[in-house]
Amino acid sequence: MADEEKELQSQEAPAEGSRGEHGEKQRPARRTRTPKKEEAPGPHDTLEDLPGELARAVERIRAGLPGVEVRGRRDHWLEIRTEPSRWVEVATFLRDDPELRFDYLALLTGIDRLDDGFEVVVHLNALTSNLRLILRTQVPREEPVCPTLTGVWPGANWHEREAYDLLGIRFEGHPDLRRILLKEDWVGHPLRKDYIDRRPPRKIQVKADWERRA
Amino acid sequence: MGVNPVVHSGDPEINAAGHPGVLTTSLRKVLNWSRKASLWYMTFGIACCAIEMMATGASRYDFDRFGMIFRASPRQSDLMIVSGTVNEKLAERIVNLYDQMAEPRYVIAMGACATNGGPYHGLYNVVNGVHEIIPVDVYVPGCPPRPEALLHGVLQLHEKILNEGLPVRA
Amino acid sequence: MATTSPPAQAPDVRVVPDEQDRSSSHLYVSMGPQHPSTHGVLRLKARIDGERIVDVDPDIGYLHRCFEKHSEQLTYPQIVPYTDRCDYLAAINNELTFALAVEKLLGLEVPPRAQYLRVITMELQRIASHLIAFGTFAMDLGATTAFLYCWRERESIINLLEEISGARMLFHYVRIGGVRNDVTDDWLRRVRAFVDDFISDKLPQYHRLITGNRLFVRRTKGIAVLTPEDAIAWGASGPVLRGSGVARDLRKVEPYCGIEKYDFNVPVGENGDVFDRYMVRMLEMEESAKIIKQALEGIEAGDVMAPLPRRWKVEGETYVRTEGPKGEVGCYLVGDGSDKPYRLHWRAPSFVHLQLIPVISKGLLIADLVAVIGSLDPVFGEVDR
Repeated sequence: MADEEKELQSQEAPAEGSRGEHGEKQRPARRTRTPKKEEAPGPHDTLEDLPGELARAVERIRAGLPGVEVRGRRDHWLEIRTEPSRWVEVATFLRDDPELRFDYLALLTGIDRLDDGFEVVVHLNALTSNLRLILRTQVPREEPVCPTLTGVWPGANWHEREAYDLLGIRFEGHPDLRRILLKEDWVGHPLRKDYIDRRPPRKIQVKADWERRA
Repeated sequence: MGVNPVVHSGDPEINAAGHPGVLTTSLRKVLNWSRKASLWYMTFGIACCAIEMMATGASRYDFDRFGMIFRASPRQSDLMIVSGTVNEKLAERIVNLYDQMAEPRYVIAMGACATNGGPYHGLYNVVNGVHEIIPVDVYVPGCPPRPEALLHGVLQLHEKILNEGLPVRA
Repeated sequence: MATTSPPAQAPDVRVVPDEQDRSSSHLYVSMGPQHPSTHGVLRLKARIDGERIVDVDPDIGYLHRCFEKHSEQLTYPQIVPYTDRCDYLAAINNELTFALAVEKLLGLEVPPRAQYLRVITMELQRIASHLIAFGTFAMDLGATTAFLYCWRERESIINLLEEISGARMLFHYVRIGGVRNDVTDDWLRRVRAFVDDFISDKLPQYHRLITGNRLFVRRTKGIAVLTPEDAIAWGASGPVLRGSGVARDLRKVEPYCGIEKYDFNVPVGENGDVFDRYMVRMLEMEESAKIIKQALEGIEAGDVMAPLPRRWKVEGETYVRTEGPKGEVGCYLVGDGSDKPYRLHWRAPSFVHLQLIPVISKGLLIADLVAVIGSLDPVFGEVDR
């Protein structure tokens, strides 16, 4: 890994070497290509003839939410892609529809898709029928704002705070959008692919110095 | 506080003022011996190593044999075992805790993370070794170190304490 | 030298809303990150009125070790030991989740003997994790003896696992494609002996020591009730969800490692209080022992590792979850066709459960807060990752 980093550094680091403008070590973003999406068959591929309950759920979603892309995957997860403007509407429908009842939010997270902006991904579960669904949306990189889901599933609260902290996606209407893992005064969002660590280096502490200081 | 740093002379039997003395030599021995025999450590578990620290304190390995019992308050403890990864958020708390401990105080960096960042070395939020924020006396390698290794580290610290000079007033 | 170290008395920048309101009689208590009962580096900012809790704000992040960012720089086999360090009390369950996710994307078939070994080690690990939950919980409530007893059994489990993996705590035993080492028949016999002894002798000891204890019952019954509706809405899982009476176990709902062949029950609580969550864990240890016994009878000879691809091309995305001792351990993995993940998100049950502290602890006495934390059983390696 070290070799690879060096190699990348020599390609991408500024001409004066590996030191940035404040003398700190610069770390280049490691990879700068988006993953190719639909390719070789995998568990994430679309399944043509869905088993009964999944097909019924897809019908139900298509009827209740016209204009929303929905598909069933080979690993029996449903998948919905929507715009941020319809985010809360779709989520509320999925939770409240008497046949679907997606009452359990398993996780909410974000992915940095570089030029395509940030993708917000939610994994839902219906506890009674054990239907599983992935809900996605894409927000632009310059203006990463997404409506909050805390009004639909209160458990989304910390997931959204984490996505805000590490990726910088702002969730509009969130009751308490603060940093959760990093320090309050941290600069930047580390899970972004272009993040550079700009902390100044520290020295080793010596006991005699310390006691004299006190 | 108010006491100057410990002066280490080359010869352990020469006291800090530069004179060999029967009284100071014996006093030094007694003080050091009593210090090493009652190292009270702070209950401050951070990460995975904390579980091994608890295992060392529990019945099978038993810290009590060395006169070590845990204290919940930094003001009552002599030894801080830094048992886990220190990150930027925790760093200021650790410095705070260390400053609250009464002198003489000792620090054991337990495990690879506290020693130099270990498997997390160089990541954005990780302090590369607790010696970057407070002074360390003994490093115990391992990820996590076995209880035997921690006990060995404590014995090394005993040896270090036994060879300390007397603190003198300025 | 002073320029490089952070200030010794760093001001607390996090101000609780209306902390400045001098007219209210509320007092602010900061608990942790150095506190013996917070199970790690949790900090709770509690607003109290006399002895009663008005509001609690959990402050986490004191153990954030950049796992998700780091895993984007590591190859898939290199990530496995880091997953150990997420929930370090249940290393096997974490490795298993990650291995299952990668195997799903690669389309690998795991040999049957490895499946059995995975089930045996996974359930042994569950017992070990529940033992710690039980011991530290009892110690928080003042019963130090239980803590020492539970370490006795945990050492036995650790000895067994150390023998096959070489490590005492972070085993790195389950690998992508199988398990690291095969085991001897003698080892299987000793697992059997341990499980028999545990069920017939040790577990009843714990129940005699703690479960019937009147002090313990008074401090746990009816405390911090979590309704099933709240539990589902906040995304609780594992013993916390089942303690509220929702019988959801991923081993039943989405079976993995052939666990659908085994016969075991899913214990559930009735009231959703601290006692029920404790009781569910105690009963689960019995069920785990049952599973281990069945696996020991069914185990067959064969390979323990599937042949691995020479070049790793992991494509596509998946979300795989397993039932860890703390709840739903999930691994959301996005591969871009190279040997390193494009994005990895770890769904940690403790992270979700800590959200519940403000929900269930309003109106309790401040001394009950430690009981609440103990009953949620958080592990900070996976809360902060």
